[in-house]
Amino acid sequence: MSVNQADHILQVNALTKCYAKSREPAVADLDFTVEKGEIFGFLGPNGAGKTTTISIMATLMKPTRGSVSICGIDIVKHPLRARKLISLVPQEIALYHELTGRENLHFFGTMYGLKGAALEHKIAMGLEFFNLDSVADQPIAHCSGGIKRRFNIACGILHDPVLVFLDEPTVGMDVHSRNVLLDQIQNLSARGSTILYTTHYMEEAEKICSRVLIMDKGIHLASGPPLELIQQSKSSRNLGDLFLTLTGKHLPN
Amino acid sequence: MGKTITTFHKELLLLMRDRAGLLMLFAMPAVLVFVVCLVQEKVLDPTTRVLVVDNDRGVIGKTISEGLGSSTYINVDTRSETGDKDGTNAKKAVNQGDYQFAIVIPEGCTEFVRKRVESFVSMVVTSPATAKTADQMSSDVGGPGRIIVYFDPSVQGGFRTAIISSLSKVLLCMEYQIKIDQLISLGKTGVARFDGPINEDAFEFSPWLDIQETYATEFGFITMPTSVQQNVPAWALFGIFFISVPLAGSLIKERENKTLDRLMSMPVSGVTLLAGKIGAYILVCGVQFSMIFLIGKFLLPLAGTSAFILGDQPLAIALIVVATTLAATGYGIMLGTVARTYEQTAVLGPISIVIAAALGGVMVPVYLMPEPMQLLSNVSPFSWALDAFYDIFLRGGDIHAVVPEAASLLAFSAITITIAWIAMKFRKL
Repeated sequence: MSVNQADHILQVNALTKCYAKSREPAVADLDFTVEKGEIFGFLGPNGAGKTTTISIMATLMKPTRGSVSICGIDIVKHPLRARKLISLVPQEIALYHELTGRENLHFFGTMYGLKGAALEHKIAMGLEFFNLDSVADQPIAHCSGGIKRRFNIACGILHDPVLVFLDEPTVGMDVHSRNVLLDQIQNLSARGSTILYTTHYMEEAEKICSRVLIMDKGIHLASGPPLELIQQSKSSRNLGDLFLTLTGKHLPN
Repeated sequence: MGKTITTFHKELLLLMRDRAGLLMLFAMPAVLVFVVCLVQEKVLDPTTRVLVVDNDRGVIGKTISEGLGSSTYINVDTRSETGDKDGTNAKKAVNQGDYQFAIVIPEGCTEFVRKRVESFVSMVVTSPATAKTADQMSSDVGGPGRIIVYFDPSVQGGFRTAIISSLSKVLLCMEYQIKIDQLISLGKTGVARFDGPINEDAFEFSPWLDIQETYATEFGFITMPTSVQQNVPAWALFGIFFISVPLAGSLIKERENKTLDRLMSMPVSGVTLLAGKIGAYILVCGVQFSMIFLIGKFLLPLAGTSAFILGDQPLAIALIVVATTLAATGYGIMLGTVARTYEQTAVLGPISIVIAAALGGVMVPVYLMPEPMQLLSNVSPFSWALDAFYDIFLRGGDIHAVVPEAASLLAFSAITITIAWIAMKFRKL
């Protein structure tokens, strides 16, 4: 492995996925890399192929062609090894709503291979990091939307993953809660986690992402630091304008 | 192992906090077993149809027919044609539901009684020192002393006992009437003179005719099924199979809120997750099953029914409970994977279970069903599990006797889980 490759936390080469029932590929020849410590924005309208790409990267689905490696590990050949390095935080509150936040943390921590004092320590740290101590023993079903979203992420970072897939983590949140969560995501990145971040909110991507990739209909349209991309496009004042220019689609508010 | 135990613990917590689910799992079968047992215990057709097959064509058949026919609620149909010496046709007629029971009187029965009368007279007038004993007399007379009674299995225990007891009474009255008639006759004709002491041994009670009661089925029961003995295991199985509904629901929830995706992206195998899930459900089913059995043993007798008899084959029972739970969890996993929404599961699950239960003999025992339905019942896992319980409770079988049924249930579990696995793979394509 070259030094360059080692710096890539995620390397995607010519990734293609064709579904049996569809004529067009959901993802076509996608190439990109994500570097260590980055918050990488993965942007596109509905049907762009984001979910398919994330599913492949999270080892839930096999690609038709191409390759994905995480820290140099081929995820198709060694899915179990890759899974130890990643965390998938779905857009939905992927928790057991009848269990308390602490019980969810305990369950998912154990599934990541943590146990005993180390697990308890990580749970305590997770609760503190996301400021969830006071609601840790409430069933998730009784928590507010913002608290649920924080638990959703907390359950995914207990094992200090190298790469976190955050899928629309702020969707449906009020402005204040969203800002608090964005700060926490930035802190998470500062701690050394690399984050692949999908969102419909362009101002969020502009604010926290070091680089973004915009795709539509499975095709890579543009990628780079948000400001650089905006400057390159003469007609765009911000990432939202650029998105509209590239895809011809407005994102929902 | 730790992950399996944690999954097991998580499933238990989820089950315990799902109050509606718990209510369905525990209260529903408990109420059903209680109500159905009581209802079936009380159900009785006011008119009883009886077939008397009189191969003897003597006084005995006439006496039995007249004795039973004197009751307002019993319709007696007497057949005296030969051709059904062993009662095969009578058994078939009862099995088909034409009669509640059939009495088959063997050929030569009256002749047998006549010989017994002669022996009796001889015994009365012979000195005790030289007289033959009652057993010796029976041995000398030999011949057919057995009347067979075929019962429809739906005839409840109490009624069955009443019929046998009435029949015994008719035969006993007939015996004493004959004895008295003979003694009077002897006295009048002066054939015997009672100079010496009367042999009192001759008056010892020793029934001349034996009554053998048996079921008109091909099911090979050695113990007569009662309402309790039928319903307790049947409804306990029903409860076990209902566990597939919350299991399927939990899988759909996990799929819909992407918890399943999250789990599948973790460094944990599907087998580990499945083992924890199934383990929790086996424990719950064990508790549920024990509760139903305890109701049968202790609560139902308080309401006037007979107590459920567990028998002495706990290993065989445990094997069937575990195999049934695995079949139910397999079905739940398949349902939760094949169904697209929670609503589909909520409808499809209970309906398919109730149909399978009805086919399998939970509501109406298989041995009471018409023959085509009995054939159809073979496709239901309820039928396999219930048959295993019949093996244990009614046919005196041990763990070896229930291995075929346990294997069928385990095969069902394996097939349903394989279908679920294929459906999951297919969905990902």
